[in-house]
Amino acid sequence: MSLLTAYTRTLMTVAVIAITTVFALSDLRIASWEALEAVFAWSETTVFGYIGKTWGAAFAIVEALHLVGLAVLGGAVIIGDGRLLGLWFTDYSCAEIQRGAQRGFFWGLMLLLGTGLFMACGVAMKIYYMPVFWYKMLALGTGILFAYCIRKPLLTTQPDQLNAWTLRLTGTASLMIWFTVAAAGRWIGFSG
Amino acid sequence: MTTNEASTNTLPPASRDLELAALVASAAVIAFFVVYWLGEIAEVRAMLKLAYG
Repeated sequence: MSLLTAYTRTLMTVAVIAITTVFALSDLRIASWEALEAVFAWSETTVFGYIGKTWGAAFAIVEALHLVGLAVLGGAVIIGDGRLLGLWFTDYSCAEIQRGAQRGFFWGLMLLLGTGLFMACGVAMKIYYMPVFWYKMLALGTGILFAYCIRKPLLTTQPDQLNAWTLRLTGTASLMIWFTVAAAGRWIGFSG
Repeated sequence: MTTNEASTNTLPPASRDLELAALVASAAVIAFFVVYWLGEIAEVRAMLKLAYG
């Protein structure tokens, strides 16, 4: 079997990391950011943007749901990744814990994305100029790709037979990503 | 059953690929976020120094 077919996922992972690095270090990043200004300006004129800007109670309710989503997703991440690190639920099989945590993760993520989109429309031009918002989006994109292209396939096979250090590194990386998403979100909130 | 310390050589090829991809992605993520947070902490320390001496 050739190297290309035997290690397809690994090579694709390396390619994604290389493309992201080149994008981040080139002028393409600035050009994309400038091109997105019109989209952000338009999103403030949508129904979501109008409600978010003019009806504070609606924004507050959606923000509360956003925090519920974060709590559900955060709980799933802490339970799942804590098990990978061997911190808790070690009496249960890793596969069993991951299956349960995965359901909470999915619904938490759906709630976060839905409410986040609404909230972003209300303050689109403010967050457009915030570097921390873009770091949050980078962490969120990385988190979704990492969860569904790396972590889930790895743990659906035979997590109990994998090398313990692979599981620990995967758990640590996942925790760091979602911690950054949550911290950056709070940072946006504090930035007025 | 708890996590064992099984060697990657005992895994089928598809799992070896998954495991290697996970190692590469995790290492890249950890390296990036460690640098990012160290940078942020250094910036906050510099601002605190400016504000309070």
